[in-house]
Amino acid sequence: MAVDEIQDRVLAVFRKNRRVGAAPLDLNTTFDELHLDSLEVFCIVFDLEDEFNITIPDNAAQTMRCIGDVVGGVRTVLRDGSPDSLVQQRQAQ
Amino acid sequence: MRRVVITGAGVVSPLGSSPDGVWEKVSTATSGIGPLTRLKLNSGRAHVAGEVRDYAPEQHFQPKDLELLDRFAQFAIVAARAAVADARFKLTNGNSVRTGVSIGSAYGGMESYDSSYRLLYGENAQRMHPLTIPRLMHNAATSHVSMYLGAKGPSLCVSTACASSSHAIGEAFRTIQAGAADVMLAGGSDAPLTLGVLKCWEAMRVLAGAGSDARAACRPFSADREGMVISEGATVLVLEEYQEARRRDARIYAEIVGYGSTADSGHITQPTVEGPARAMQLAIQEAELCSHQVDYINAHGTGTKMNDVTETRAIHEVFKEHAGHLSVSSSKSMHGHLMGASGAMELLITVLAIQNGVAPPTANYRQPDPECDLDYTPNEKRERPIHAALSNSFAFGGLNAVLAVRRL
Repeated sequence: MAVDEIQDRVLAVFRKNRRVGAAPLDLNTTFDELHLDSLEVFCIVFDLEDEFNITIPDNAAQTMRCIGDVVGGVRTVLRDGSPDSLVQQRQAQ
Repeated sequence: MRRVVITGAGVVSPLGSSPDGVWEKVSTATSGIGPLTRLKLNSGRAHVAGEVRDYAPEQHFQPKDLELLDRFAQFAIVAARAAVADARFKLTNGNSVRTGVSIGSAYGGMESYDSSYRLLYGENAQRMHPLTIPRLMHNAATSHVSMYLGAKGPSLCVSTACASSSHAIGEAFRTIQAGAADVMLAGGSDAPLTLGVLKCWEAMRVLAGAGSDARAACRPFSADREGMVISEGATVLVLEEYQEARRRDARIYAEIVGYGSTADSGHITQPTVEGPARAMQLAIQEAELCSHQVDYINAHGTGTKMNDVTETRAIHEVFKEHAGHLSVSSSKSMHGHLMGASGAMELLITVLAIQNGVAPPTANYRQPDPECDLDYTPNEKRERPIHAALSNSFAFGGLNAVLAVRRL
Protein backbone atom coordinates (compact mmCIF):
# COMPACT_ATOMS: atom_id res chain seq x y z
CA MET A 1 0.00 0.00 0.00
CA ALA A 2 1.37 3.40 -0.92
CA VAL A 3 2.51 5.63 1.92
CA ASP A 4 0.21 8.41 0.80
CA GLU A 5 -2.75 6.09 0.83
CA ILE A 6 -2.05 4.93 4.41
CA GLN A 7 -1.64 8.52 5.49
CA ASP A 8 -4.88 9.57 3.82
CA ARG A 9 -6.80 6.75 5.43
CA VAL A 10 -5.37 7.47 8.89
CA LEU A 11 -6.24 11.15 8.52
CA ALA A 12 -9.74 10.22 7.36
CA VAL A 13 -10.24 8.14 10.51
CA PHE A 14 -9.16 11.10 12.64
CA ARG A 15 -11.45 13.40 10.67
CA LYS A 16 -14.44 11.14 11.33
CA ASN A 17 -13.97 11.56 15.08
CA ARG A 18 -16.39 14.16 16.35
CA ARG A 19 -13.84 15.64 18.71
CA VAL A 20 -11.30 16.22 15.96
CA GLY A 21 -13.73 17.60 13.41
CA ALA A 22 -12.24 20.27 11.18
CA ALA A 23 -9.00 20.89 13.11
CA PRO A 24 -5.90 21.16 10.86
CA LEU A 25 -4.10 17.82 10.73
CA ASP A 26 -0.64 16.73 9.62
CA LEU A 27 1.90 14.12 10.68
CA ASN A 28 3.23 16.36 13.44
CA THR A 29 -0.16 17.05 14.98
CA THR A 30 -0.17 15.66 18.51
CA PHE A 31 -3.11 14.23 20.41
CA ASP A 32 -2.58 16.95 23.01
CA GLU A 33 -3.03 19.63 20.35
CA LEU A 34 -6.31 17.98 19.38
CA HIS A 35 -7.35 17.94 23.06
CA LEU A 36 -7.85 14.18 22.90
CA ASP A 37 -7.75 12.44 26.27
CA SER A 38 -6.60 8.82 26.55
CA LEU A 39 -10.16 7.44 26.32
CA GLU A 40 -10.74 9.40 23.10
CA VAL A 41 -7.43 8.18 21.66
CA PHE A 42 -8.52 4.60 22.37
CA CYS A 43 -11.73 5.25 20.43
CA ILE A 44 -9.69 6.41 17.43
CA VAL A 45 -7.35 3.42 17.77
CA PHE A 46 -10.46 1.21 17.76
CA ASP A 47 -11.57 2.78 14.49
CA LEU A 48 -8.06 2.41 13.01
CA GLU A 49 -8.08 -1.31 13.82
CA ASP A 50 -11.28 -1.57 11.83
CA GLU A 51 -9.99 0.52 8.94
CA PHE A 52 -6.84 -1.57 8.43
CA ASN A 53 -8.03 -4.88 9.92
CA ILE A 54 -5.15 -4.98 12.37
CA THR A 55 -4.69 -5.21 16.14
CA ILE A 56 -2.82 -2.42 17.83
CA PRO A 57 -1.21 -3.70 21.05
CA ASP A 58 -1.88 -1.95 24.36
CA ASN A 59 1.68 -0.68 24.76
CA ALA A 60 1.67 0.86 21.30
CA ALA A 61 -1.71 2.51 21.80
CA GLN A 62 -0.45 3.94 25.08
CA THR A 63 2.76 5.38 23.63
CA MET A 64 1.45 7.01 20.45
CA ARG A 65 1.68 10.78 20.74
CA CYS A 66 1.08 12.15 17.25
CA ILE A 67 -0.52 11.23 13.93
CA GLY A 68 2.92 10.45 12.50
CA ASP A 69 3.36 7.69 15.12
CA VAL A 70 0.16 6.12 13.89
CA VAL A 71 0.95 6.35 10.19
CA GLY A 72 4.47 4.97 10.75
CA GLY A 73 3.21 2.02 12.75
CA VAL A 74 0.51 1.10 10.28
CA ARG A 75 2.95 1.37 7.38
CA THR A 76 5.50 -0.87 9.09
CA VAL A 77 3.16 -3.71 9.79
CA LEU A 78 1.46 -3.56 6.41
CA ARG A 79 4.90 -3.79 4.79
CA ASP A 80 6.67 -6.26 7.10
CA GLY A 81 3.91 -7.92 9.09
CA SER A 82 6.51 -7.98 11.86
CA PRO A 83 5.12 -9.12 15.22
CA ASP A 84 7.66 -6.87 16.95
CA SER A 85 6.59 -3.78 15.09
CA LEU A 86 4.46 -1.08 16.60
CA VAL A 87 1.38 -2.58 15.05
CA GLN A 88 0.70 -6.27 14.71
CA GLN A 89 -1.26 -7.86 11.93
CA ARG A 90 -4.46 -9.06 13.46
CA GLN A 91 -5.01 -12.83 13.63
CA ALA A 92 -7.29 -14.10 10.91
CA GLN A 93 -10.77 -14.25 12.38
CA MET B 1 -31.56 16.81 63.77
CA ARG B 2 -31.46 18.72 60.49
CA ARG B 3 -34.71 18.63 58.55
CA VAL B 4 -34.96 17.74 54.86
CA VAL B 5 -37.44 19.07 52.32
CA ILE B 6 -38.12 18.43 48.64
CA THR B 7 -37.77 21.62 46.61
CA GLY B 8 -37.61 20.42 43.01
CA ALA B 9 -38.55 17.55 40.74
CA GLY B 10 -37.66 16.35 37.26
CA VAL B 11 -39.10 13.34 35.52
CA VAL B 12 -38.82 11.34 32.28
CA SER B 13 -41.52 8.70 32.20
CA PRO B 14 -44.25 6.82 30.35
CA LEU B 15 -46.61 9.46 31.78
CA GLY B 16 -44.65 12.33 30.29
CA SER B 17 -41.73 14.46 31.27
CA SER B 18 -43.02 17.10 33.66
CA PRO B 19 -44.42 16.79 37.19
CA ASP B 20 -47.59 18.65 36.11
CA GLY B 21 -48.08 16.35 33.13
CA VAL B 22 -47.57 13.26 35.27
CA TRP B 23 -50.08 14.55 37.82
CA GLU B 24 -52.68 15.28 35.16
CA LYS B 25 -52.45 11.68 33.91
CA VAL B 26 -52.28 10.09 37.34
CA SER B 27 -55.19 12.03 38.76
CA THR B 28 -57.39 11.09 35.80
CA ALA B 29 -56.42 7.39 35.85
CA THR B 30 -54.76 7.69 32.44
CA SER B 31 -52.36 4.88 31.61
CA GLY B 32 -49.00 5.39 29.90
CA ILE B 33 -48.63 1.67 29.29
CA GLY B 34 -48.99 0.25 25.79
CA PRO B 35 -47.70 -2.27 23.27
CA LEU B 36 -43.94 -2.74 23.29
CA THR B 37 -42.44 -0.89 20.31
CA ARG B 38 -38.76 -0.36 21.17
CA LEU B 39 -37.95 -3.92 20.12
CA LYS B 40 -39.74 -6.84 18.61
CA LEU B 41 -40.17 -10.12 20.44
CA ASN B 42 -41.09 -13.23 18.52
CA SER B 43 -42.60 -15.11 21.42
CA GLY B 44 -43.53 -14.91 25.05
CA ARG B 45 -45.57 -12.53 27.16
CA ALA B 46 -43.51 -9.36 27.38
CA HIS B 47 -45.35 -7.53 24.61
CA VAL B 48 -46.51 -4.66 26.77
CA ALA B 49 -44.39 -1.97 28.39
CA GLY B 50 -44.29 1.52 29.80
CA GLU B 51 -42.14 3.27 27.23
CA VAL B 52 -40.90 6.85 27.32
CA ARG B 53 -42.41 8.19 24.10
CA ASP B 54 -41.83 11.94 24.29
CA TYR B 55 -38.05 11.75 24.38
CA ALA B 56 -35.54 12.47 21.61
CA PRO B 57 -31.90 12.20 22.75
CA GLU B 58 -30.66 14.78 20.24
CA GLN B 59 -32.90 17.42 21.77
CA HIS B 60 -30.92 17.16 24.98
CA PHE B 61 -27.39 16.18 23.99
CA GLN B 62 -24.71 16.76 21.36
CA PRO B 63 -23.82 13.70 19.23
CA LYS B 64 -20.35 13.50 20.82
CA ASP B 65 -21.91 13.49 24.30
CA LEU B 66 -24.36 10.74 23.36
CA GLU B 67 -21.46 8.42 22.52
CA LEU B 68 -20.78 8.21 26.25
CA LEU B 69 -24.34 7.99 27.50
CA ASP B 70 -26.47 4.89 27.85
CA ARG B 71 -30.20 5.60 27.72
CA PHE B 72 -30.49 5.30 31.52
CA ALA B 73 -27.76 7.93 32.05
CA GLN B 74 -29.47 10.25 29.55
CA PHE B 75 -32.76 9.97 31.43
CA ALA B 76 -31.04 10.75 34.73
CA ILE B 77 -29.28 13.85 33.39
CA VAL B 78 -32.45 15.19 31.77
CA ALA B 79 -34.44 14.62 34.98
CA ALA B 80 -31.70 16.15 37.16
CA ARG B 81 -31.45 19.27 35.00
CA ALA B 82 -35.22 19.68 35.18
CA ALA B 83 -35.23 19.14 38.94
CA VAL B 84 -32.58 21.77 39.56
CA ALA B 85 -34.40 24.22 37.29
CA ASP B 86 -37.69 23.45 39.03
CA ALA B 87 -36.06 24.14 42.40
CA ARG B 88 -34.55 27.38 41.07
CA PHE B 89 -31.36 26.12 42.66
CA LYS B 90 -28.07 27.50 41.33
CA LEU B 91 -24.99 25.36 41.73
CA THR B 92 -22.02 27.63 42.44
CA ASN B 93 -18.39 27.30 43.46
CA GLY B 94 -19.61 28.00 46.96
CA ASN B 95 -22.25 25.28 47.28
CA SER B 96 -21.00 22.60 44.87
CA VAL B 97 -19.03 20.69 47.51
CA ARG B 98 -22.12 20.64 49.74
CA THR B 99 -24.29 19.24 46.93
CA GLY B 100 -24.28 15.49 46.29
CA VAL B 101 -25.92 13.03 43.91
CA SER B 102 -27.69 9.76 44.72
CA ILE B 103 -29.23 8.03 41.70
CA GLY B 104 -30.41 4.46 42.18
CA SER B 105 -30.56 1.97 39.32
CA ALA B 106 -31.46 -1.68 39.19
CA TYR B 107 -29.95 -2.27 35.77
CA GLY B 108 -27.36 0.39 34.98
CA GLY B 109 -26.45 0.66 31.31
CA MET B 110 -28.43 -2.37 30.21
CA GLU B 111 -28.81 -1.27 26.58
CA SER B 112 -25.02 -1.06 26.39
CA TYR B 113 -24.62 -4.50 27.96
CA ASP B 114 -27.19 -5.92 25.59
CA SER B 115 -25.84 -4.43 22.36
CA SER B 116 -22.18 -5.09 23.14
CA TYR B 117 -22.72 -8.66 24.32
CA ARG B 118 -24.78 -9.34 21.21
CA LEU B 119 -21.71 -8.43 19.13
CA LEU B 120 -19.52 -10.62 21.31
CA TYR B 121 -21.63 -13.76 21.43
CA GLY B 122 -23.84 -13.36 18.38
CA GLU B 123 -21.45 -11.91 15.85
CA ASN B 124 -18.16 -13.27 17.14
CA ALA B 125 -16.72 -9.80 17.66
CA GLN B 126 -13.12 -9.92 18.86
CA ARG B 127 -13.16 -6.59 20.67
CA MET B 128 -15.50 -4.26 22.51
CA HIS B 129 -15.77 -0.54 21.95
CA PRO B 130 -13.60 1.47 24.42
CA LEU B 131 -16.63 3.37 25.72
CA THR B 132 -18.53 0.22 26.73
CA ILE B 133 -17.48 0.21 30.40
CA PRO B 134 -18.15 3.93 30.98
CA ARG B 135 -21.60 3.49 29.39
CA LEU B 136 -22.74 0.41 31.25
CA MET B 137 -21.49 0.98 34.80
CA HIS B 138 -24.27 1.44 37.34
CA ASN B 139 -22.79 4.66 38.71
CA ALA B 140 -22.69 6.27 35.24
CA ALA B 141 -25.95 8.13 35.93
CA THR B 142 -24.73 9.51 39.25
CA SER B 143 -21.33 10.39 37.77
CA HIS B 144 -22.75 12.17 34.72
CA VAL B 145 -25.28 14.07 36.82
CA SER B 146 -22.44 15.23 39.06
CA MET B 147 -20.45 16.33 36.00
CA TYR B 148 -23.28 17.96 34.03
CA LEU B 149 -24.65 19.81 37.05
CA GLY B 150 -21.36 20.53 38.85
CA ALA B 151 -22.18 18.72 42.10
CA LYS B 152 -19.07 17.73 44.08
CA GLY B 153 -20.49 16.52 47.38
CA PRO B 154 -21.11 12.96 48.65
CA SER B 155 -22.35 10.90 45.69
CA LEU B 156 -23.30 7.27 45.32
CA CYS B 157 -25.32 4.74 43.35
CA VAL B 158 -27.61 2.39 45.20
CA SER B 159 -28.70 -0.80 43.46
CA THR B 160 -31.38 -2.65 45.36
CA ALA B 161 -33.52 -3.90 42.49
CA CYS B 162 -37.03 -2.44 42.61
CA ALA B 163 -36.30 -0.40 45.74
CA SER B 164 -33.16 1.27 44.36
CA SER B 165 -34.40 4.83 44.14
CA SER B 166 -36.29 4.71 47.44
CA HIS B 167 -33.08 3.62 49.11
CA ALA B 168 -31.17 6.25 47.10
CA ILE B 169 -33.52 8.97 48.37
CA GLY B 170 -33.47 7.54 51.89
CA GLU B 171 -29.69 7.53 52.00
CA ALA B 172 -29.60 11.06 50.56
CA PHE B 173 -32.05 12.11 53.30
CA ARG B 174 -29.65 10.63 55.88
CA THR B 175 -26.69 12.41 54.28
CA ILE B 176 -28.36 15.81 54.72
CA GLN B 177 -29.65 14.95 58.21
CA ALA B 178 -26.13 14.03 59.27
CA GLY B 179 -24.71 17.30 57.95
CA ALA B 180 -22.52 15.80 55.22
CA ALA B 181 -24.37 17.76 52.51
CA ASP B 182 -26.94 20.56 52.28
CA VAL B 183 -28.48 19.51 48.97
CA MET B 184 -28.80 16.09 47.32
CA LEU B 185 -30.00 15.37 43.79
CA ALA B 186 -31.66 12.06 44.54
CA GLY B 187 -33.76 9.61 42.58
CA GLY B 188 -33.45 6.77 40.16
CA SER B 189 -33.11 5.84 36.52
CA ASP B 190 -33.54 2.67 34.50
CA ALA B 191 -33.87 1.82 30.82
CA PRO B 192 -34.46 -1.93 30.97
CA LEU B 193 -36.46 -2.50 27.79
CA THR B 194 -33.96 -4.85 26.19
CA LEU B 195 -34.37 -8.35 24.83
CA GLY B 196 -32.25 -9.85 27.62
CA VAL B 197 -34.08 -8.15 30.48
CA LEU B 198 -37.54 -8.85 29.09
CA LYS B 199 -36.83 -12.54 28.46
CA CYS B 200 -35.37 -12.94 31.96
CA TRP B 201 -38.45 -11.33 33.54
CA GLU B 202 -40.69 -13.46 31.39
CA ALA B 203 -39.07 -16.52 32.95
CA MET B 204 -40.11 -15.30 36.42
CA ARG B 205 -43.76 -15.68 35.28
CA VAL B 206 -44.80 -12.39 36.83
CA LEU B 207 -45.40 -10.31 33.68
CA ALA B 208 -48.87 -9.20 32.64
CA GLY B 209 -49.98 -10.07 29.12
CA ALA B 210 -51.34 -7.39 26.81
CA GLY B 211 -54.86 -8.86 26.81
CA SER B 212 -57.47 -7.01 24.81
CA ASP B 213 -56.30 -3.59 26.04
CA ALA B 214 -52.58 -3.14 26.59
CA ARG B 215 -53.18 0.11 28.50
CA ALA B 216 -54.99 -1.86 31.20
CA ALA B 217 -52.44 -4.68 31.44
CA CYS B 218 -51.37 -3.74 34.97
CA ARG B 219 -54.24 -4.16 37.47
CA PRO B 220 -52.85 -4.00 41.02
CA PHE B 221 -55.05 -5.32 43.84
CA SER B 222 -57.78 -6.32 41.36
CA ALA B 223 -58.73 -10.00 41.54
CA ASP B 224 -58.10 -10.41 37.82
CA ARG B 225 -54.56 -9.03 37.98
CA GLU B 226 -52.01 -10.86 35.87
CA GLY B 227 -48.74 -9.34 36.95
CA MET B 228 -46.44 -6.42 36.42
CA VAL B 229 -45.47 -4.34 33.39
CA ILE B 230 -41.86 -3.29 32.88
CA SER B 231 -41.24 0.39 32.20
CA GLU B 232 -38.42 2.84 31.75
CA GLY B 233 -37.69 6.35 32.95
CA ALA B 234 -36.12 8.50 35.64
CA THR B 235 -37.13 10.82 38.43
CA VAL B 236 -34.76 13.12 40.29
CA LEU B 237 -35.77 15.19 43.31
CA VAL B 238 -33.90 18.08 44.89
CA LEU B 239 -33.56 17.32 48.61
CA GLU B 240 -32.53 20.31 50.64
CA GLU B 241 -31.81 21.15 54.26
CA TYR B 242 -34.88 22.96 55.55
CA GLN B 243 -33.24 26.15 56.88
CA GLU B 244 -31.23 26.58 53.67
CA ALA B 245 -34.40 26.14 51.62
CA ARG B 246 -36.20 28.72 53.78
CA ARG B 247 -33.29 31.13 53.52
CA ARG B 248 -33.49 31.19 49.74
CA ASP B 249 -37.28 31.19 49.83
CA ALA B 250 -37.57 27.95 47.89
CA ARG B 251 -40.92 26.47 46.99
CA ILE B 252 -41.31 23.36 49.17
CA TYR B 253 -43.19 20.29 47.90
CA ALA B 254 -43.10 18.40 51.21
CA GLU B 255 -40.84 17.39 54.06
CA ILE B 256 -39.24 13.96 54.23
CA VAL B 257 -39.79 12.91 57.81
CA GLY B 258 -38.97 9.22 57.94
CA TYR B 259 -37.11 6.42 56.23
CA GLY B 260 -37.47 2.76 57.06
CA SER B 261 -35.00 0.28 55.59
CA THR B 262 -35.20 -3.44 56.35
CA ALA B 263 -34.27 -6.85 54.99
CA ASP B 264 -36.66 -9.80 55.02
CA SER B 265 -33.80 -12.25 55.48
CA GLY B 266 -36.23 -14.73 53.99
CA HIS B 267 -36.56 -15.84 50.39
CA ILE B 268 -34.83 -14.39 47.34
CA THR B 269 -38.12 -13.65 45.55
CA GLN B 270 -41.02 -14.31 47.92
CA PRO B 271 -41.66 -11.34 50.18
CA THR B 272 -42.48 -11.63 53.86
CA VAL B 273 -45.11 -9.60 55.68
CA GLU B 274 -42.77 -8.82 58.53
CA GLY B 275 -39.98 -7.10 56.52
CA PRO B 276 -42.19 -4.57 54.70
CA ALA B 277 -44.28 -4.01 57.86
CA ARG B 278 -41.19 -3.23 59.90
CA ALA B 279 -39.97 -0.78 57.21
CA MET B 280 -43.30 1.09 57.36
CA GLN B 281 -43.18 1.05 61.17
CA LEU B 282 -39.64 2.47 61.24
CA ALA B 283 -40.56 5.27 58.83
CA ILE B 284 -43.62 6.20 60.91
CA GLN B 285 -41.66 6.09 64.17
CA GLU B 286 -38.90 8.31 62.86
CA ALA B 287 -41.55 10.73 61.58
CA GLU B 288 -43.02 10.80 65.10
CA LEU B 289 -46.40 10.13 63.54
CA CYS B 290 -49.23 8.14 65.05
CA SER B 291 -50.50 5.65 62.52
CA HIS B 292 -53.87 7.44 62.32
CA GLN B 293 -52.07 10.59 61.11
CA VAL B 294 -51.11 8.84 57.87
CA ASP B 295 -53.75 9.51 55.21
CA TYR B 296 -52.28 7.99 52.06
CA ILE B 297 -49.95 5.18 51.03
CA ASN B 298 -48.51 4.95 47.57
CA ALA B 299 -48.18 1.18 47.55
CA HIS B 300 -45.44 -0.84 45.94
CA GLY B 301 -48.46 -2.46 44.23
CA THR B 302 -46.75 -4.27 41.40
CA GLY B 303 -49.87 -6.13 40.30
CA THR B 304 -48.43 -9.59 40.97
CA LYS B 305 -50.52 -12.12 42.86
CA MET B 306 -48.06 -12.31 45.69
CA ASN B 307 -46.92 -8.72 46.25
CA ASP B 308 -50.38 -7.25 46.48
CA VAL B 309 -51.57 -9.74 49.09
CA THR B 310 -48.41 -9.51 51.17
CA GLU B 311 -48.37 -5.73 51.06
CA THR B 312 -52.03 -5.61 52.10
CA ARG B 313 -51.27 -7.84 55.09
CA ALA B 314 -48.28 -5.71 56.04
CA ILE B 315 -50.41 -2.54 55.96
CA HIS B 316 -53.00 -4.25 58.20
CA GLU B 317 -50.28 -5.29 60.61
CA VAL B 318 -48.89 -1.77 60.93
CA PHE B 319 -52.10 0.28 60.87
CA LYS B 320 -54.50 -2.07 62.66
CA GLU B 321 -57.99 -0.51 62.83
CA HIS B 322 -56.82 2.61 60.93
CA ALA B 323 -55.94 0.50 57.87
CA GLY B 324 -59.50 0.78 56.53
CA HIS B 325 -59.39 4.58 56.73
CA LEU B 326 -56.25 4.90 54.63
CA SER B 327 -56.34 5.82 50.98
CA VAL B 328 -54.01 3.37 49.26
CA SER B 329 -53.17 3.28 45.57
CA SER B 330 -50.74 1.81 43.11
CA SER B 331 -49.72 4.32 40.49
CA LYS B 332 -47.90 1.44 38.76
CA SER B 333 -51.33 0.71 37.27
CA MET B 334 -50.61 3.73 35.05
CA HIS B 335 -46.83 4.05 34.75
CA GLY B 336 -45.87 0.40 35.18
CA HIS B 337 -42.80 -0.74 37.05
CA LEU B 338 -39.85 1.52 36.31
CA MET B 339 -37.63 -0.94 38.17
CA GLY B 340 -34.97 1.00 40.07
CA ALA B 341 -36.60 4.30 39.12
CA SER B 342 -40.04 3.38 40.48
CA GLY B 343 -39.60 4.53 44.07
CA ALA B 344 -38.57 8.06 43.07
CA MET B 345 -41.43 8.39 40.58
CA GLU B 346 -43.86 7.19 43.24
CA LEU B 347 -42.48 9.54 45.88
CA LEU B 348 -42.99 12.38 43.40
CA ILE B 349 -46.61 11.27 42.91
CA THR B 350 -46.99 11.02 46.70
CA VAL B 351 -45.83 14.59 47.31
CA LEU B 352 -48.04 15.83 44.45
CA ALA B 353 -50.93 14.03 46.17
CA ILE B 354 -50.11 15.93 49.39
CA GLN B 355 -49.91 19.24 47.52
CA ASN B 356 -53.18 18.70 45.68
CA GLY B 357 -55.10 17.13 48.54
CA VAL B 358 -55.99 14.25 46.27
CA ALA B 359 -55.36 10.54 46.62
CA PRO B 360 -54.59 9.32 43.09
CA PRO B 361 -56.45 6.22 41.92
CA THR B 362 -55.46 2.67 41.22
CA ALA B 363 -56.43 2.39 37.56
CA ASN B 364 -57.82 -0.76 35.90
CA TYR B 365 -59.38 -2.01 39.12
CA ARG B 366 -62.13 -4.44 38.09
CA GLN B 367 -62.85 -7.04 40.74
CA PRO B 368 -62.38 -7.07 44.51
CA ASP B 369 -59.95 -9.69 45.79
CA PRO B 370 -60.96 -11.04 49.21
CA GLU B 371 -57.29 -11.09 50.15
CA CYS B 372 -56.84 -7.44 49.16
CA ASP B 373 -59.38 -5.65 51.30
CA LEU B 374 -58.13 -2.07 51.69
CA ASP B 375 -59.42 1.10 50.02
CA TYR B 376 -57.25 1.12 46.91
CA THR B 377 -58.92 4.26 45.52
CA PRO B 378 -60.31 2.25 42.60
CA ASN B 379 -60.31 3.98 39.22
CA GLU B 380 -61.14 7.48 40.47
CA LYS B 381 -59.12 9.91 42.52
CA ARG B 382 -60.38 10.86 45.94
CA GLU B 383 -60.15 14.39 47.31
CA ARG B 384 -59.03 14.41 50.91
CA PRO B 385 -56.51 16.42 52.89
CA ILE B 386 -53.27 14.44 53.08
CA HIS B 387 -51.15 15.48 56.04
CA ALA B 388 -48.71 12.62 55.90
CA ALA B 389 -48.11 9.78 53.50
CA LEU B 390 -45.88 6.79 52.86
CA SER B 391 -44.27 5.58 49.67
CA ASN B 392 -43.47 1.85 49.72
CA SER B 393 -40.81 0.01 47.73
CA PHE B 394 -40.09 -3.68 48.22
CA ALA B 395 -37.36 -5.34 46.18
CA PHE B 396 -36.70 -8.87 45.06
CA GLY B 397 -34.16 -10.13 47.51
CA GLY B 398 -36.30 -8.89 50.39
CA LEU B 399 -34.85 -5.38 50.67
CA ASN B 400 -37.48 -2.87 51.70
CA ALA B 401 -37.48 0.93 51.71
CA VAL B 402 -40.31 3.12 52.94
CA LEU B 403 -40.26 6.92 52.85
CA ALA B 404 -42.57 9.06 54.99
CA VAL B 405 -43.43 12.58 53.82
CA ARG B 406 -45.46 15.33 55.44
CA ARG B 407 -47.15 18.49 54.25
CA LEU B 408 -45.41 21.71 55.24
